[in-house]
Amino acid sequence: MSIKYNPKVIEHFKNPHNQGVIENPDAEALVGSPACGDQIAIYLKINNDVIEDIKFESYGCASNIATASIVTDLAKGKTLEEALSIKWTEAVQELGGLPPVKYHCSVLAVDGLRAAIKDYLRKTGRLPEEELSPDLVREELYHVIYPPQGLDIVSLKRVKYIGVEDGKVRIEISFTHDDPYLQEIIDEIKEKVSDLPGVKDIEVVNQGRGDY
Amino acid sequence: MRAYFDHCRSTYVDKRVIDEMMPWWTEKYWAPSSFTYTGTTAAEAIENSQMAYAKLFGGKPDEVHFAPSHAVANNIAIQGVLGNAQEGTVPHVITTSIEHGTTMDLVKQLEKLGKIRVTYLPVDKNGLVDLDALQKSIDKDTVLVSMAAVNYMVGTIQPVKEISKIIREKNPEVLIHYDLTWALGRLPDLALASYADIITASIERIHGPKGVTALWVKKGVGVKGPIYGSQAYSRIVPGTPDVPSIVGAGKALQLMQEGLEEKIEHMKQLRDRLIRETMALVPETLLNGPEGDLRSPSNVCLTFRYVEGESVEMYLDMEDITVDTGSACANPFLEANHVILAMYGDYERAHGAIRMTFTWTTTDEEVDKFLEVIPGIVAKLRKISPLAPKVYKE
Repeated sequence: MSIKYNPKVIEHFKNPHNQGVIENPDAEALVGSPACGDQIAIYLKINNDVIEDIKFESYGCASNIATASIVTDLAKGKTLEEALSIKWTEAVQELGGLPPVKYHCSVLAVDGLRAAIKDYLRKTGRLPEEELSPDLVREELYHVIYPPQGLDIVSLKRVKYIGVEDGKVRIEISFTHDDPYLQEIIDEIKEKVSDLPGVKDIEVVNQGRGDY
Repeated sequence: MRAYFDHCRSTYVDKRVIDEMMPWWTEKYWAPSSFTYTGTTAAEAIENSQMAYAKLFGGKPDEVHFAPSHAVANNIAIQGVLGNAQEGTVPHVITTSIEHGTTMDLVKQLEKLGKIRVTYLPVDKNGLVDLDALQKSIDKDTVLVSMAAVNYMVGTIQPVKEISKIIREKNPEVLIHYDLTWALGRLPDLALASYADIITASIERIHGPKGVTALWVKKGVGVKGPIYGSQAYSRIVPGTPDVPSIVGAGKALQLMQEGLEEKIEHMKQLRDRLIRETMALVPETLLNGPEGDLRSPSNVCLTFRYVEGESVEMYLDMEDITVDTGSACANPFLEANHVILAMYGDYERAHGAIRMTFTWTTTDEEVDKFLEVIPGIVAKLRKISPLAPKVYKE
């Protein structure tokens, strides 16, 4: 599998924009986990619901740094509403493409931005009460990317069932049992879903996919 | 010129090896399986290489076979032993928790299919196998113990003679497979024939060609499958032997043995200098694996705290320096290196691991080149890392 980076990715990796920390930020978020390898911190300065300044820190690979650089570029000067609508595909496009196995990096950068904005809305008492539901879980699973195809597992129809009961979430997925990405997918599902309000327990079951 | 520190993945082929191989493609392109002049000439060429390996391992020439790759050789070694196990049983296989994918992925797959029961031996902070656990894990169903004599990631040298003794005292029926791929050209004594039943060793990591790996199977050891058909020349490795590569392997082995002790000494000095000076230049650098004589002379594996390995690898690449990393980001299946995880249980340490491996052709100038740029690269990445303490942010 070739994982060659294009020159624009390399440029953002070498000279990332908006890198650093904002002292006393209006909002901040740290997303990612040690198990998955990459983590991004986002800091926001907000005035009149406009992102006046944005900085990031990254523990991750070249594409992690490059996507954080481009996503913060895209968000700067935007209203919160506009920034919330930035999609990870736009970041990939803006970078002139990424190897599919690296798409999840751009998802992480966009998730970091959203988490920081939500932090602000929460602080200012404007975050609508979210109730744990299958739809809310599904929304999160749109951010879990199947690396070989570079598409999310919902669009790929690999999510077969989502059940929610008393804070217990059960998710059934469909991958071959020897799929080399299976563990990575399960870890990522748990990581994303555990951030939702009211989640006490997550069970991910692989139904298999026409194999033994 | 590029400084290349990935010799435990692949090396350049020595010009003298290529010269030796060339006529076996262009003029003497024959297959060995007939009594004709052409057939016997090709067979003799293979015998020369068999003799070289037999001498090194301490076995007999006709016990040496040649597989078309390291992965295929380990598959024949492990699956071949299982192919000979009693039908209707679930054989027990013992390996370690730090094996290379050519062994690890195979036994995991066979385990998943329910074909074998597996014990993955734990290791200590030096990567040394737990001998007590080994002794305890051997039972009446155990058919095979398979491990690398030198670990590919952190260079730990296992006490294989002691390991063989433990196995044979507990159950002399158990077969022993040692993978010497990372030991070749790194350890002075590989005469292990009386301590093992099967030995595999690729040659591409010591300036030999890629498409060949030696597979030594002691006479009388039952190996059946997994590859069948076209067994005229070898029952164990079916198919037409790759004569040029086999000739090249023999030549590379011969060249390796010339002045081997000096070569090892040179690598040890480079290794120790690289570790010592990097640690002096870059604060909070961790050495993964053992120090001194427990470590392969050609392996250095470091983690720069708070910094992810693929970023370091990419920055070094832009400076014309090749290294390898244990980071999940650089792994096609996005998994952090299991060797470092098994040794330390620390994801950050695994993601940050930088492996640097060399041969006797590696120079002090290459080490200089690395030492010159590494402090700046790590400082730059620590500055942008959310995990790094404030002191690195100034």
